[in-house]
Amino acid sequence: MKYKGITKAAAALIILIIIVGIGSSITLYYTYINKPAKTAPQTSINTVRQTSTSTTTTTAPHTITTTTKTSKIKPIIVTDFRGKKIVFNKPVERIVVLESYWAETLLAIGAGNLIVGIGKYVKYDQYLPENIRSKPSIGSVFTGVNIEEIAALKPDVVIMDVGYGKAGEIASKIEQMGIKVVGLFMHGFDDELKAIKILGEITGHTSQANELSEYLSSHYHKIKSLASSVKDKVSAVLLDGYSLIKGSILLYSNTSWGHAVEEAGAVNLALKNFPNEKWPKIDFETLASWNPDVILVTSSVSSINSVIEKIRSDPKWQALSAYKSGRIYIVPCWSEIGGVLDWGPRSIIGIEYIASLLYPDVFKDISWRDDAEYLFTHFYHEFIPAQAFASYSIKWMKIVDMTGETVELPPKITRAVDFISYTLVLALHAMDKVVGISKYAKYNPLMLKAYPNITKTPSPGSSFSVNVEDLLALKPQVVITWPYNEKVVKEIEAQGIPVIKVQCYSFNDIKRLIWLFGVVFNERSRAYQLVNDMDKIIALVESRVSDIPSDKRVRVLYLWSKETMVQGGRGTVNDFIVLAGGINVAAKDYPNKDYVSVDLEKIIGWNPQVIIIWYYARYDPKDILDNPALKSIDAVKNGRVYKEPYYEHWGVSASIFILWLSIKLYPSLWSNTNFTEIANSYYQEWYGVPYTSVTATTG
Amino acid sequence: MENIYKILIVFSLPAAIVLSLFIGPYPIPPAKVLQILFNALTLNPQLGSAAARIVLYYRLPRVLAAALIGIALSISGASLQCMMRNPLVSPYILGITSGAALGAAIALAFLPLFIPVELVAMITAIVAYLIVVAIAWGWGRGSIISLVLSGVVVNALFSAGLSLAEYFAPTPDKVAAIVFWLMGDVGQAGQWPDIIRMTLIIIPCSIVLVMARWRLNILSLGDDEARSLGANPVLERLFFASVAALITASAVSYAGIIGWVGLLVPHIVRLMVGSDSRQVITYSFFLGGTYLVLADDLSRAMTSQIIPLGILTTIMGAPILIILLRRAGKAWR
Amino acid sequence: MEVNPIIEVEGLSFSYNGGEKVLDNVSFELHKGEILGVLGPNGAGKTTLLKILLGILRGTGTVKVLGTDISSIPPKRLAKIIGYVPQEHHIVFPYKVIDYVLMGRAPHHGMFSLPSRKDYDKAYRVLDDLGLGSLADKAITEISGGQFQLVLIARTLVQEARILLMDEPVSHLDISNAVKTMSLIRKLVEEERILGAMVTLHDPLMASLYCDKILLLNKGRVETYGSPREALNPERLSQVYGVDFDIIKYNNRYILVPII
Repeated sequence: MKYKGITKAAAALIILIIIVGIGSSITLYYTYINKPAKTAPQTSINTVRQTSTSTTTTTAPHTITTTTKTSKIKPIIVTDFRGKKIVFNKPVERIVVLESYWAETLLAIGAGNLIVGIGKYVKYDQYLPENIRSKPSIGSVFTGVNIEEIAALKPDVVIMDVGYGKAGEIASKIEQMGIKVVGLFMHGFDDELKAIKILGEITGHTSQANELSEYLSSHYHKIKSLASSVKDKVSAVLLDGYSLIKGSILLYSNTSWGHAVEEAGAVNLALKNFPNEKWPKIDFETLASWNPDVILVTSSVSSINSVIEKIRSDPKWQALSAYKSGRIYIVPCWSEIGGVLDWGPRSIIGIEYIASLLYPDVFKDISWRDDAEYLFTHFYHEFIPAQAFASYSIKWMKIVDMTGETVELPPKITRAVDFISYTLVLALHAMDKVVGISKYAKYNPLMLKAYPNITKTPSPGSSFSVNVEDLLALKPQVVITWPYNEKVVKEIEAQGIPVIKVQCYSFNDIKRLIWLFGVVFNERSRAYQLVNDMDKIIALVESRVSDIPSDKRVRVLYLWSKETMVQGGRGTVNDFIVLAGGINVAAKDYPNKDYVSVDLEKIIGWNPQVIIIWYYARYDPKDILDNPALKSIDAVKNGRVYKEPYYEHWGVSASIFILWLSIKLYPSLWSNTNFTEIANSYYQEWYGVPYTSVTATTG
Repeated sequence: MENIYKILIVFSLPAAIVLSLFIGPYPIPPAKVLQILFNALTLNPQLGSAAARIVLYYRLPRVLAAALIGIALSISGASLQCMMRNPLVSPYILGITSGAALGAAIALAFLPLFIPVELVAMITAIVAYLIVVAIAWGWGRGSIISLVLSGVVVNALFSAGLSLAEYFAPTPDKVAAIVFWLMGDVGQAGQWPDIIRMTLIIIPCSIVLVMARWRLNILSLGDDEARSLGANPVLERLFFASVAALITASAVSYAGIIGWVGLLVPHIVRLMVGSDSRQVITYSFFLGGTYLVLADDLSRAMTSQIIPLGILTTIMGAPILIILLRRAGKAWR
Repeated sequence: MEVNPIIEVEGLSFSYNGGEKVLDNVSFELHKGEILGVLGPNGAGKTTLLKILLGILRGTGTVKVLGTDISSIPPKRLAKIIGYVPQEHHIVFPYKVIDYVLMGRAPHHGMFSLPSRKDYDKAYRVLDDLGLGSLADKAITEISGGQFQLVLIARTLVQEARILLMDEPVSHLDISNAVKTMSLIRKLVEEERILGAMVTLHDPLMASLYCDKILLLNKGRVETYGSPREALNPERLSQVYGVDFDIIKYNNRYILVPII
C-alpha cells in the first residue's frame, strides 16, 4: 500500500538528515567556534586580533636584512609574519593598509601620508586623522577585498593581517596581481615591536620606527619589572563585554589580550584552565567556582555603561567575591577615543591601564593617561588629551580634571551641578543631566537664548559662593566649578561630593575641557565631533594666515575690565590671538600672566595695531578712541578698536572668536568669506540657535 | 509498556529540573541546594551566600529557561507535524527562525545596545510568519503545500537578508555576535524577567495546543476528510499554526536557534507512546522540557567550557531516535 | 422526519476557476434504502460530484440533502448526515485502529474537547459489529487494505452519518475484499443503519451487482440515470467505455459483462 512506502521513506530520510545534521553541526562547531581564526570570515576584531596560527607562532620571522652597502640601490628585504621574504628595491611610497592598528602604527612612524587605500573598518578608527580615514575603502579580511580597486590604487605594498579568515587567500590573490603583501599579526606585545621594525624598514622611516619602538618597549619593560616585584599575584579573568551583554561569558585566553593580563602582572585563570583555547566560552558557575580576585571586562567605549548596568542589574553577579570587593573593572577597547586596549602602538596603554587597576600601589607612578597623551601628541601628532580617558569599575569612573587631579565619580552621571562652562554642557546635549547651575548662568545671553529652561533650573550658588543646604537638596553626584575659590571647593568636598575643577590656559585646554565633559556626561561622540569641528575652523584660519611673515603680523592688545588691564602671554585669549595670526603685544613683557594691570604708557609703547575689548567691559571702543593719551597708537589712529561680541572663551565659541579675530586683523585676506554664514551654521549645530540671534553686534 | 513510558515522561521533567539544580562546577552540596530552595519558597532567600545567589539567580532560571524552550520547541514541532501532515516538519518551517535570525542580526549589528535583541527578533519572526501566511493564503488558499512552500521562500528571503546584515555589520565583533546568536544558547535567557516573559507566552499557548490535541488528529487526516468530519481545516490549521508560531518565536528570540528538538522529541514520544496526537502533544510537552534540560546539563557539565546547545541537542537526540526507530520499527515499516 | 429523496441534485454544474465544465447540468436523486452507483471513466467528474456533496466544493444548481439546500447546512451538521469514505489514504502517522475509528466522533465534539468513555464504547461496538474487534489496538499501517476499507466504513458508522459517500471503495481491493465491502454496505442499507449510500465505481459489473440506481457520467454529463436495467444499456456503455458489453440475468439481477 502507498502509505507504507511513504513512512519507510520518511524514516530513512530522518536518519539521513540526522547524520547530515550531526556532521554539519560538528563541522560548523569546528569552523566557527573552536578555530574561528582558520576558516571563519565572521570572527570579530577582538577574536581576530587575538589569534595566532601555528605558522605564525612557530616561525621566527621579522628579521630584517639589508644587502651589502656596495650596491647602488639597496634592496630592502623583510621577512613578514608568514615567514615570507619580500624584497623592495626602494622604500614604498604608496601603501594600502587593511587594518586600523597597522594604519596607526604607520601613522606613529610618520608614514601615515603614504597610505592611499584602507580596509573597510579603518574609517571607524577615531585615533586616525581624517585624511587617512577618508581614503578609499577596499574591503576587509572578513568580507573580502576588491582586488581591482586595490590594483587601481597602484600600491607598492599591501599591509594586512595574516593567519586567520580569508587572509591567506586574499594575500595570494593580491600577490597574483603583482602587488607585494606584507603580512602582520599580533600574538603578544613583542609582535607590535616586530611589526614596527618591518614597517620602518619598508617605508624608510627607520629612525622614527626605532624611536617609537624604544618608547613602547621601555614602558613595557617598566611594567613587566614592576609586575614581577609583586609577590602575591592576583588572579584575574578578561571577559568579552559584548557577549556579556548578550548573556554569555567569553574569556580571553591564549591571545594577545589574554597575555596582556599576565603581562600586567595577574594570573589569567583562563590561560591556566584553557592554555590552548583562544576564547573559551564558559558557564557563569565555572566563573563563580574559579572565584577570581579581579574581573576585567572589555567593552567598546560606547557600551561601557551598558556593560556596567548589565552586571549590576543581574543579581547572580553578586555571588562573586570580585563583585563584593568592587574589583570588577571595565577595560575600554577598540578604536573609539577612550579605548585603550587594542592592537598597534596603543596596546601599551592597555597593559598600563590593566596594571594600574590590578595593583594601584605598585603602579602609582605610572600614569597611563599621560602616557596616552604623550603617545598621541608625540607620535600620532594628534592632540588627544588625558582628559579623554577614564578608568571604570562597575562602581566608579575615574577621570582627571583640568587641574590634573584624579576624581572618582559614579560611573553614570545623571545629577550634576555645574558652576562653570555651562554653554559647553549645552553644546554636548547634556543639560538633562544638570540639576543645578551657577546663578550667573541665568544672565548668560547664550544660555537664555538657546536654553530658556535655564531660568527654572535650581541654582545653589556659583563658583564664588555656595549654599550647601541648597546644594545637598539637589543630591548631586558631582559639582563642577573652578579651582580659584578654595573655600567653595572644600565646602563641597566636605559633604562627600566629588568636585571637578575646571581651568583653561590654552586653546588645547579647551579641547581637554570638551573631552572632560564628554567623558563625564557620557557624550563622547559629540565631544569628538565638536573637537573636530573646532579644528576645522582653526585649520581654515591657519590656511589663510600661515604665509604671513612675522614682521607683517598684526600687533594686538586685548583689554579686560579696565582700559589698563591687559591680556598677558598666558591664557586662552593669548592663544586665540596667536591662532588668529596676530601678535599679542603684551606677551613678551608678561609671559606668565593671564591679565595684568599696566601703566598707560606701557600700552603707548607697545603701539598695538588692533585693540580688542572684553565683552563684559564697562567701556566702549569710543572711550579708547577718544582718550587723548592714546591718540598716538596705530589702533586709535586707524580706528581699529573693537569690542568683542559675546563669546564663551572656555567653550564652543572659542573657534568662532578666533575666526572673528582673524577677520578683524586681516580684513583683506578674508574679504571673500561670509563670516555670518559660517558662524550661524556653527552655532546652529552646537547651540541650536543662529549666531546672529545671540550676538547682536557682530563687529 | 506505554503506560510506564507515560509515567516516566511526566515525572522526568520535575526530576530533571530538580536534579539539574545539583549539577554545576560551583561546589554546592545537594542538601544545601534543597535548603536554599526551601528558604526561597518560604520567602526567606538569604541572598548573602554565594551559593544562594548561584542557585536562585543562575541555576534555577537557566534550568527553567531550558525547560521552557524545550517545551516550546517540541510542542510546536509536534502540533505542526500533525497539522501539516508531515513527520519531517520542524517548528522552523514557517519562516520563524530566519525571521528571528534577521531581527537578531539587525539588532546586534545596527541597533543601540539598550534595545533588547529578543524583542526585535520576536517582531521580525512574527512578521516573517505573517508574510508566509499571506503568501500561502493568496497563492494556495492556505493549503498545506502552499504554507510549506511559502515558508521555504520566506526562509530563503530572510536568510539573504541575514547575510546582508552580516555583510554590512559595522564591525567584525558584531558579525561574531550574530554567529554566536545563531548557534543558540539558553543562557541568553537566563534572568528572571526573561523567564517570566517567556512563561507568559509559552505556557498559555501550549495549553491551547494541549487542549486542542484531539482536533490536531482530525487535521492530520487531510483537508477533505477533516472537512467530512465537520472541521474547517484551513482556518483551524491557520489558528493552530499561529499559536505554534508564537511559541516558537518567543523561544527562538530568547535562545537563538536550537535545532532538532522540535523534530526529534515528537518522534521519540510517538515511538514511545504511539502516534495519537492526544499522546504526542501532551508528552512532547513534558519530554521536550526534560530533553533540553538534560542537554543543557550536559553542555554545562561536560567541560567547563560551554558547548553550543544546538549541537548537543542533535548529538544527543539522533542516537535515541535511531534506537527507538529500530525497536518500534514495525509500526513504520 | 422522513424525507425522500435523501439527496436531490438538479441542474448541477461545476467548473474550476471558470475553466471547462467538470460537471454539466447533472441531475439525480438518491432515495432512502438505495445504493446509488456512480459510474464513469476517469475524469468523468465522479470525485468532483462527491466533493460537492461533502460541501468542499460548491457548484451551480440545486443540491439538497435531506430536503435542505446543502449551502445552508453548516459543516458540523453536514458531517452528522454524510459520512465519507475517501479513495486515497496517505497515512502519515500510524494511528491505532481504535483511535482512527474514534475520530468519527469529531462532528459531535468542539475544537477543544476530547472523546469520552461513551465515544470509546461506541467505537468498540462498531468494530466488534464489523468483526474488527481484534484489530482495535493495531496500527492502521499494519492491517490489510481490505481491513482498512472496513475501518473507514466503521469510522462513518461511529460518526453516525445517515448517508455514506464512498469514493472508489473497491478499486484497489481483491475480489473477496471487494465483495465483503460491498456486501457490508448492502447490509447496512438493508438493516437501515444508514439511509442510503452513494458509491463511485470503476467496474460496471460491481455496479450492476450491488446498486439500486446507476448514474453514468461521461465528461461531466449524465449519460444515463436509472435502475441498472435501464441505465446499464450495453450500447451506451460501449460508447462510454469503448468496450462491448453483454447483459445477462443472474439471480434476478441484470449483470453486465464485457465481451471478450
